[in-house]
Amino acid sequence: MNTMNAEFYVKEYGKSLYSFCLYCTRDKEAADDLYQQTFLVALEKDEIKREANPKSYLITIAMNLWRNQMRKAAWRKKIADVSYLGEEELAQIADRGCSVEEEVQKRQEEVLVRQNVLKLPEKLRVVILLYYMEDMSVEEIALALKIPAGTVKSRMNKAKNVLKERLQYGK
Amino acid sequence: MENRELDAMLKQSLQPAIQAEESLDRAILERLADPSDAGGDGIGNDQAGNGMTGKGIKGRAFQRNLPKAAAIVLAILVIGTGTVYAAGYIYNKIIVTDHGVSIGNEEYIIDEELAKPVEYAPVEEVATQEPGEGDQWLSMKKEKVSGQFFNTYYTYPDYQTAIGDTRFESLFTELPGKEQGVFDSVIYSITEEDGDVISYSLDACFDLEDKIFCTHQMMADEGFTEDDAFGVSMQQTGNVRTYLSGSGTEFTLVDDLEREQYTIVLIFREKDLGYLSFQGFSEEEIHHILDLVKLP
Repeated sequence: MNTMNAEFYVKEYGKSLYSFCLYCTRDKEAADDLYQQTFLVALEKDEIKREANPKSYLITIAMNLWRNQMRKAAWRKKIADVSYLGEEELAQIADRGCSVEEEVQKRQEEVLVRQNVLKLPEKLRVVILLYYMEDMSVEEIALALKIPAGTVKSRMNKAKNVLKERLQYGK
Repeated sequence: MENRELDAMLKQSLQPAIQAEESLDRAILERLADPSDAGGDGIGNDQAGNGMTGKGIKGRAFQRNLPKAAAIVLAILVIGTGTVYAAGYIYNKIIVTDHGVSIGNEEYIIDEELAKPVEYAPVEEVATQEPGEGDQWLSMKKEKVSGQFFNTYYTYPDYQTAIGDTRFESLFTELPGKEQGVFDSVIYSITEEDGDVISYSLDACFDLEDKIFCTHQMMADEGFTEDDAFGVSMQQTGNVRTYLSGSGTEFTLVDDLEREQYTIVLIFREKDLGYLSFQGFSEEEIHHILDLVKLP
């Protein structure tokens, strides 16, 4: 793939992919690695040009690479200690033109939501990220994770129930 | 809290808003622009040159019980999905890179992964068991790794007993060195994630004076697909050559130049794949053992 095309994909989908990698791995160093590997695998293959949904394609590769890394842990390879993202990273938002007070409150709510999403078990966290962060449909998520659509829905419901309880009662 | 309210909060809070550092993007683009930074592409044709030296010994968990055994880590690169095939159908090319020897879809064979030094994750022992009447194994141990995987290990007295008691088929038409020694340690392990079995493996080491011969066989529960890759990490590969065995099978032998007289041979059969490792063996002795390997 030529440099211009590669640059296009990195620019166009980088933020989406990196955000996903960060929330998936919950560790900046691991996210950097996963992000880099994903682009290298996807762009060296050069099949991304034929994909109807390049973002979904990239996310699927990232998912597969991450699952692979996690499985290697089962062979007693250490995974970098999970360091939950700091409030600074979680609080990155664009200026929405709200009042300062509204802004602060919104920021606090969003940080709380993000923190609780990060605390979800991996299987639940991933479906939430793919659906709400990456705008993937249930069918696309099922394909990416190689699980039935029913399982996707069930995991999402379970995740949302956990989140509701935590956000409502501060557990 | 209503579902709609939570939906809106999740949508708003999880907007992708975090960008990678510019230096990371630059590194990716530079790497793509310079393909000579990639790994090797086949036997005797190693183009690797990324400067990684991959120092450090890696070891398998079971080898804690075998102080003299070869220390290898299996870097499993298993990615993707697709139509399931017999291993021998899709794995027909050995890929040698600076830090490992692999088979499978070369798109997913990443030398940097093979070169990464391995540290052992803390594990939590969850169960041990002594054999009951009729059990062929000697002991069982179950461990939780990284919070979500379970490894269950069964130790067997010898290779043949393990073969008879597990789903694996023997690698050999005749057990190598049967008159000279026995397999020192044979361990059958099952790796699970959330109750789903991911893989089975059978590891054995044969200790003969100052020589060590080890075997590793692995079976993925879902079978192998064209997107899978399997690799063995080595510190520095070299002296790649082939050997045509008495049964007409061509094996690829790869040395680890950082270790004395240490050779790896990848094997792949219909249902399982893995490797053989030789430490301290002459070339002739390696050939003799390979003549006994059964690859249907």
